[in-house]
Amino acid sequence: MVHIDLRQVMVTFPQPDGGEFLAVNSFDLKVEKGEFVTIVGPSGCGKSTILSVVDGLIRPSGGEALINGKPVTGPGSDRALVFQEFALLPWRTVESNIMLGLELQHKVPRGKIEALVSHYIKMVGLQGFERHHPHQLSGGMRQRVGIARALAVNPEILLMDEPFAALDAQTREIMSAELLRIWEQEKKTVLFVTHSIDEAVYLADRIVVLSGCPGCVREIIPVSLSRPRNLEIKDEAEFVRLRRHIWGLLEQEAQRQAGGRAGS
Amino acid sequence: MVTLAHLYRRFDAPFLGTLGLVAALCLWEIASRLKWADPILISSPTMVAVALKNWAVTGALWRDLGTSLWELIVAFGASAVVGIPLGVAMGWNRPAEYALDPFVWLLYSTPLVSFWPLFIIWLGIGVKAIIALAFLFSIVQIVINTMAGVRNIDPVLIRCARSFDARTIDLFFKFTLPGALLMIVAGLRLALGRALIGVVVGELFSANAGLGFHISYYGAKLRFGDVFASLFVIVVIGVATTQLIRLFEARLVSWKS
Repeated sequence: MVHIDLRQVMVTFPQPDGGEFLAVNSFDLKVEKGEFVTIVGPSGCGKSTILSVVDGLIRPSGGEALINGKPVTGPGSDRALVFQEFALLPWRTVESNIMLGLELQHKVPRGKIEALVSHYIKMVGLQGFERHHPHQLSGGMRQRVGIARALAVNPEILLMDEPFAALDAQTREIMSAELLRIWEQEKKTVLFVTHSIDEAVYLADRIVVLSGCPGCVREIIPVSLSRPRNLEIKDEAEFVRLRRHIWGLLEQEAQRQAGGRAGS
Repeated sequence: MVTLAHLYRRFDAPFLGTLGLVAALCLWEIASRLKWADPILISSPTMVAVALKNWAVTGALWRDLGTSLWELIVAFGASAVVGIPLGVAMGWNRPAEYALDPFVWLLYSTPLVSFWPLFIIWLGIGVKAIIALAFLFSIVQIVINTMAGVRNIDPVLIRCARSFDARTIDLFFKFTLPGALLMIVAGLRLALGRALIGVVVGELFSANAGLGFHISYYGAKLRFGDVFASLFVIVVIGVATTQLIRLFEARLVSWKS
């Protein structure tokens, strides 16, 4: 069943000079229910904008975004966003941050919130840190809070906007393995934006490779690696082949960006 | 084992600060005793101490202190009650900011003392005019800090609130206000200092009680020991009230440490 259906989505932002900046151009993607789709591409290719469209934070200037066949009109409790910057309230404890979404949506009665929160604290492995504040936690633990907060509202779709980009390389590996473990339990539909090819391959059922022209799909690649996956899978021939293939698609763009954005 | 060296390393800042203060007091006393300058003009720590004692014994100290504290509390309290909602409105709502901004900067850049003759005419000589002056001194700081605190909320938190489809009232009470709280309290701390200046200046000009009045009264009689005594009391009030707010601030940011 098609869960997220993006048809010819176009996003433009008004510029101070009166012109318009084209962030995403005629983007097409269908995501099945329970599917894990990663979007990978160079910086500034409109990856995060696409997530914002699905979340309802940005209205497309052209085309349409459908969820379960209905047009997206704004944010809703069927979707939850996980942020690169974690977006935790620094004055709230872990526990209280995780219940934030539930509080804001006013759907779950107060009495049931506590049980839900402790369930998700356990799921993301933060037992014993309930009363800690974000600044007392490592980056990886902070994002565990971010993930638990998103899961706690029981969304059908999890939108992840480069959630591990602010973490160091080792933590990042561990967190993506953790994410898969959690996803195996929850079976949400996941749309995951990243600029890490490794991460994109490791997590995905399908990978959407974007190119520099704003939001243009270079290729959509199905990943046939078996699940559940552990980190050793990164040494398998198929993984290496996919990684090399995607790098081939992105290299030209990456070289251009690394070389001081010549030509942009 | 705790040695003197350890203690020194731990408390070097307060230790050296006190040392400097004591040295200055000694120098002052010596300068006065050895008549490096006219003792009537420069007074001396012991003369100030005697003046302070006499002031307390006659009971006038408590009357002056009470008057000034009362003026300070009313002016500061009123400026907080008016200033915080104004600052919130300006930080939250652009049109409100544009409409009120000229007044804030007018008050901020005008020497407020120049309103004094008007206050005297409108409110009469005495407590009311002094409170009005201190109120103006204080409120600007509160408005500016509150506005900045409300305005400077992390945009990613706003995005988070919108993503959860937060109601406006929740956005305000769960994100904006707690996020601005520290800036608001810092504004209160600075405003308290400014309110104290307003009180003392007002009393210097015209009053029949209060610490500023004590200064102008004895200043006119060239009794500088008494003048320094009231300065001392004013400094104590300033430091004590500011520290009180600092304690409160430290409690508020307990989530930071």
